[in-house]
Amino acid sequence: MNRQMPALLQPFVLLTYVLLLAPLAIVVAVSFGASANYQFPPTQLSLKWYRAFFANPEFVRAFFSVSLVLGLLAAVFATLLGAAAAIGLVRFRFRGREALEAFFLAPLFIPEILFGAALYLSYARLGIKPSMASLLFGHIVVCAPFVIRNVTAGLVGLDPRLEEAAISLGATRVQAFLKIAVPLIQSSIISGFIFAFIISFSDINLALFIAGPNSTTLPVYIFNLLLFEGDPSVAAASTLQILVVGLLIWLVQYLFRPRTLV
Amino acid sequence: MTVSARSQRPYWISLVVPLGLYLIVFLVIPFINIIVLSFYTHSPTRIWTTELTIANYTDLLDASFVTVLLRTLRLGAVCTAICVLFGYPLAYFLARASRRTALIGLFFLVMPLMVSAVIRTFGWLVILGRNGLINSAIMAFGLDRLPLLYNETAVVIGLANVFVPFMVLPLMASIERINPALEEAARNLGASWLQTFRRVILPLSRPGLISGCLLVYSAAISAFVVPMLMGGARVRVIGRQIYDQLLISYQWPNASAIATLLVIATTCFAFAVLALMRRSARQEQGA
Amino acid sequence: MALISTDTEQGSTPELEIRNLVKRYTAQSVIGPISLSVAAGEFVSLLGPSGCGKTTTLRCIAGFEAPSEGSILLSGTSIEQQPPNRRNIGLVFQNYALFPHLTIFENVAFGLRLRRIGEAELKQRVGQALELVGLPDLGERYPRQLSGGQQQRIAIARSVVLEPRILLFDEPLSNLDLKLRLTMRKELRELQRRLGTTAVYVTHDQSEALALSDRIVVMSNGRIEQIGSPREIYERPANTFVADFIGGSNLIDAVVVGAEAGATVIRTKGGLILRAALKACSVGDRVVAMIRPERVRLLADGEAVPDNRLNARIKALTYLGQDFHLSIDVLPEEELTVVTRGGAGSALAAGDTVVVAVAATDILVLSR
Repeated sequence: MNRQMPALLQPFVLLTYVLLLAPLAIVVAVSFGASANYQFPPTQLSLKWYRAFFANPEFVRAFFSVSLVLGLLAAVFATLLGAAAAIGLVRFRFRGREALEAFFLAPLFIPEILFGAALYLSYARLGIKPSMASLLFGHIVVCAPFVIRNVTAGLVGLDPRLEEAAISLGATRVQAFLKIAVPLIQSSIISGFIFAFIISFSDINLALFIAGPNSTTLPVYIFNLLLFEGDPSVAAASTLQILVVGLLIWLVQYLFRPRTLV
Repeated sequence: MTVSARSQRPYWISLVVPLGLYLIVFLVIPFINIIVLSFYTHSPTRIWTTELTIANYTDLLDASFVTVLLRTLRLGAVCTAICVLFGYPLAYFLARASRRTALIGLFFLVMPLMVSAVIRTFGWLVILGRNGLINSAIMAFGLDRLPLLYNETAVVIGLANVFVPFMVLPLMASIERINPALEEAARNLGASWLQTFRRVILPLSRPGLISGCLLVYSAAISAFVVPMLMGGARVRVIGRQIYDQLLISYQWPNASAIATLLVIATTCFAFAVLALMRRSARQEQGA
Repeated sequence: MALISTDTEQGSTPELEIRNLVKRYTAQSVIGPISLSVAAGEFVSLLGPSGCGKTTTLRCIAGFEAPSEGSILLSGTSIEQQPPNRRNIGLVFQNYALFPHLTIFENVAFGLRLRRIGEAELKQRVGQALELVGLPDLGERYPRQLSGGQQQRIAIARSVVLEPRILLFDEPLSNLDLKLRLTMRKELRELQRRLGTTAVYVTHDQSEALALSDRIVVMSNGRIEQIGSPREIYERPANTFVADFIGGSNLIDAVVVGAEAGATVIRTKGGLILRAALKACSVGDRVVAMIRPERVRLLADGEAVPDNRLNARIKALTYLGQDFHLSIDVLPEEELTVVTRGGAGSALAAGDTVVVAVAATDILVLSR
């Protein structure tokens, strides 16, 4: 049914979207421009900044060897830890469950630079040098809540009678869970995995504190270039990042249609 | 389906413990460390000594830090206000739109959210920069270029740009819970759109609004990347202070004190948000 | 052919008039054209199955749907351009739509506050409205503390306190259990009579429509099938849809074979010759004979009747407390549903042969 809306609402909403997306659109446009001074709109189109990006070993390293790998690893571990925790939280009632859930979701509310500072200081105190591993440990903390949220939502929406039916047909509780529940929530797990990846891939605040010289992530590299006014290959790198994130989110939406995130 | 803990005790522990332990090691202990460190004394040679002191906190009372603090709080408040202004209509639109429109709208809201803040701010640098969009247009008319960056307005614009989705998502969830028939009832009884908003939607979506404000404010006062890119050295905020003192001047106890205060503030906000979410979920079940 | 009377009984300006209303959703999904007049003080029901367009019509009157074509007039003035908050039409929702964050008093006072009615007058009018619906002491409670029936009454009070020209009801009783529904039905009708406000009532429950309305508008598939008083609709349905939707009916395909004094003679598909109510038609017309189950009489032994005496065998017998429902095979091979009360059915069993009769005036001939 078409709901009536106040007349001015749609134009204002459109304006909001324009303001939200214009920066991204501009970055993408600049990346295709031929000139070196961030010209918008670009008068000449060229792929040279993309060529420059791939020709730059630092960039390629940051994108593929660091951010991508880190993202995948963080997603894997966050999903393992987070999905298990979600199942435990939803399926079993015990005292202090709500407090535990709040604790697991806490990283969502803690600003990342505070967490970054805390980790940095702890590593320093223990003499651990910053590296990809040290950043990975941090990312897992930050990514797990997203997995927990998604898997919880999927579990809560699961009709318990399906497993009861399986049990009435002879399955044990564990079998019923593995054969019935897990396949039905696999979309939640996968979308949680994808979100965890995106969070790690796009992270800047943690990486600024904990990344070492050999583990510069793509966002950090872009950040440094922006501070020191690099050339528009930064725009190319950014566009690639936008592309990756956009595709993944579209994938999640298209395949699994989660309605809300928060 | 929940199972009484008595019959399942061995199982559930194995599911919840790994993440629990992991968080204790990599979340709780580092934060305890920060709190402890904030009471240590700064040493130029060894960065810190275990001598306990509250000097790090009292140092924060000096004028320069207080200026930075107030500025940060102020910018956070302005950013939150802008997010409410742009976020409410958007949240209402998405909550009441058809499913297809809402999916598309959510995509274009979440996608920027997930792209790194650096890249989103990059775009604004191009718009507001010395040779950026606006200045190029101005210069084309023969006027002098304007210094649009490196001031508080630019920082606020950058912050709002990044954090609007944080406001929209909880607000949208809250508005979705409001029965649309209530809005029709209000209009049928004579209310205009504005009156319907003020008397029905606003009071009933208050939990979402407060959640959104707390989330945005919390993130805005701890922001670092956006103020640094958009504000430069002229607009110092707390996040920048922490970064500088940790990685540049090695004033770790001091940085720890600032961080601890910020942690306390944001934790209080977080509890408030969680309590609100829990209360509105319970109300929904009881209603 | 549908019986559409757009004139009111008095011939004066109708309170509500709908002219050729059309609402287009897709090329296939169209409601209308619908035309209807409602006189002042009249209680009119829009009755039909889900998807027939009754709720859409109601929402067009209220202003929450915009018609694709046609016009809506209130006391002769066209209102379809007016926004819904200016029409002064009361709307009682199916799920009450009481504001959960306001007290009962504030709920009822909502519209008055918007009109900036003075505090003293406001209190008085709210008090009166609450008295009217029989809930004078609930002002300080919240909607969630009230039962379904009470909430429904408050919803009515909230609309009525504004003295609207028309009251619209969107299936208001469908969320209540049976007993409560019957009680509320009576109260609603009395309330409407007392206030004298014109009412348009949407329902899918035909017994509700029959009990409440001055006139019923039977709708299906976006069109009006028949408009008439409850009696007209029940006893002289215009077509097979109306006959089947209201009350039970036996519908038998037949062909007109002749006319006699005061009756039309038809032959059913199975070969039965029946004398039916007189209707203007020609020999050879294909028709449907409609017989209400309760009009089929079980004859006592030896009883004589003027027409339509049929031998039958009971196929099935269902006991429903007040009634017996019988499925009987009228030889040859024509099944009828019969409803009898009390004594007549209690001695029977499946397999028994019976003799039944239907008066000619109780067999309605409808076009196919």
